[in-house]
Amino acid sequence: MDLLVSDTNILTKFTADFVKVIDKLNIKYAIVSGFVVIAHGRSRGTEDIDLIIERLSKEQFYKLHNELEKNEFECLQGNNVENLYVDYLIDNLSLRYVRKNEFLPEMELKLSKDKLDEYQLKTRTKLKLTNLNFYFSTIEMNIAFKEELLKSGKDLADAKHLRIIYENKLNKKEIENIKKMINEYRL
Amino acid sequence: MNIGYSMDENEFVVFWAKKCRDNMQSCQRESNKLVDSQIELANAFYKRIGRKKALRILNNLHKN
Repeated sequence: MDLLVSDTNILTKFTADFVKVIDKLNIKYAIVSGFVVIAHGRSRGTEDIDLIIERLSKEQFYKLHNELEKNEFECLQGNNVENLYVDYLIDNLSLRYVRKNEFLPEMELKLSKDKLDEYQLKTRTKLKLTNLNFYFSTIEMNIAFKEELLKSGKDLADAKHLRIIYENKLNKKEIENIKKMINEYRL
Repeated sequence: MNIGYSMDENEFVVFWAKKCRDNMQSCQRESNKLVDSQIELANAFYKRIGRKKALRILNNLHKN
């Protein structure tokens, strides 16, 4: 399951370094959306990775932000941790972290904001086919979000890609349950 | 890749997904190359125009 250096790319190395910091602080996370599909070979570009983490207190966030800075990441919205926490995270907006002196890729970090995000974290999983040692939200979750909430051409194509890859392994009832939750909490 | 006729986007998504299902690692290598090239080109561009302008563009892209 470990990565071979020859098989990694910029997004993967960036994610591995970022997640190492999150793991060190025992923060629960799940990678969601575009990177999940790209990690399954989908042929499309992306410049960011979406990451949901469990809700943190201000003090826990300060610790995380400082640890990220120590590991050569910087937040594009500034380094005033009080503002970052109050103006962004608590407002359910994402913080965008990049490697110092680089612009891309970006890690879009969000706190879990409702029962649906809590469920994403609870059911997070490692996906063997990706050959990556990260926690992702489930395939069913990603399909449901893309088909029921996001719905752009790119998202529907992402969902189709996952449906074909996992054709006989999908829990279709779970997809429908998640779609119901999306309607309850997000629409 | 020449497959003998022109596909629309939807056909390509299905074609590529089936190819991935059959040989995931080969598809991952191909898509990694695509993503890396895109990021390297974008980073070179943003470095050339300078941090201030780059951040303005990236912030606007993010808003949209």
